[in-house]
Amino acid sequence: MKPTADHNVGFGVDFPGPFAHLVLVSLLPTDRREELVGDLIEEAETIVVPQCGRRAARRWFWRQALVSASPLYARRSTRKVTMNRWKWMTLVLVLIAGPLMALDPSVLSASPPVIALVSFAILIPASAGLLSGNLRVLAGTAVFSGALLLAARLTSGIEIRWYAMAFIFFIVLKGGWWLERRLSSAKG
Amino acid sequence: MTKSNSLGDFEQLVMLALLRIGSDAYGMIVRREIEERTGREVSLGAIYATLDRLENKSMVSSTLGGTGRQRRGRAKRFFLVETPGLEALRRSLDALDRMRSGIAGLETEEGVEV
Repeated sequence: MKPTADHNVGFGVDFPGPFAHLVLVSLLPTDRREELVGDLIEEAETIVVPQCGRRAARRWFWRQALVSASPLYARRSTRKVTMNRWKWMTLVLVLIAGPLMALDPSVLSASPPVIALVSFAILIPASAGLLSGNLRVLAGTAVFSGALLLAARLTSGIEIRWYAMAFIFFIVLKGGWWLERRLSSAKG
Repeated sequence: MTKSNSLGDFEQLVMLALLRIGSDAYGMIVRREIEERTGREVSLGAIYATLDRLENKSMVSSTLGGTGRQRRGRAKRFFLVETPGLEALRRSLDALDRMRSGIAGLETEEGVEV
């Protein structure tokens, strides 16, 4: 490739920038994300920029980030879920609170779309609780499913007390797990 | 050999790259080593997914290392081949050698690369 004027200049200290960071966070799974992005920035800056210039290096960076996402997601989907006591407690909670919520008379007498909505709203935090260790994912799913149930409550009058109780226990369990991980990583 | 301790084609390449690089092996260096030696374009995501799988099988271990301005403060993850990994790699390469021995045009002389 023909050398350009921006060769050897490198990227600014804010590269890839806050918006790009947001895109990368959304695009790549959490596993190894920081190391992967660090590697891409380093390779782009130390090897691709001197050879091809900044513009080409930016294109290279984003192409690499895009093609890197699918193998990581594929790996995540085939990885065994490692259970720990927090996940077991979450599973027990879901197994108890889910049927209680779903079998509530007000839910059983509701229309099929409302029952489907309630089932969906229970399954979202259940799967997030079992599969994800990310507090932001937990908060996002819990708020989303809470909003779904609230909408169902307002439109069809179903009871959501079981969900509310389960939600509080769920947050306590997940918070405990998150805190334990933070403390152990601080010690390690 | 069971499925859990056998190595696929790409896993062999990654393990060999780790052994060639030594203690300074991290994602970007492994990717470049494979690309330069094989001419095969590989994504960093594929490298990390493979390393994660090998680490789960206890064939490699990893440690977090230094950051730096060029990485905008993001840590490197260094990978090292462990004894089970070395044994599995040796078994895979031996099996490959045994399979190709006697096939005209595929045999190699000692120390001479194909």
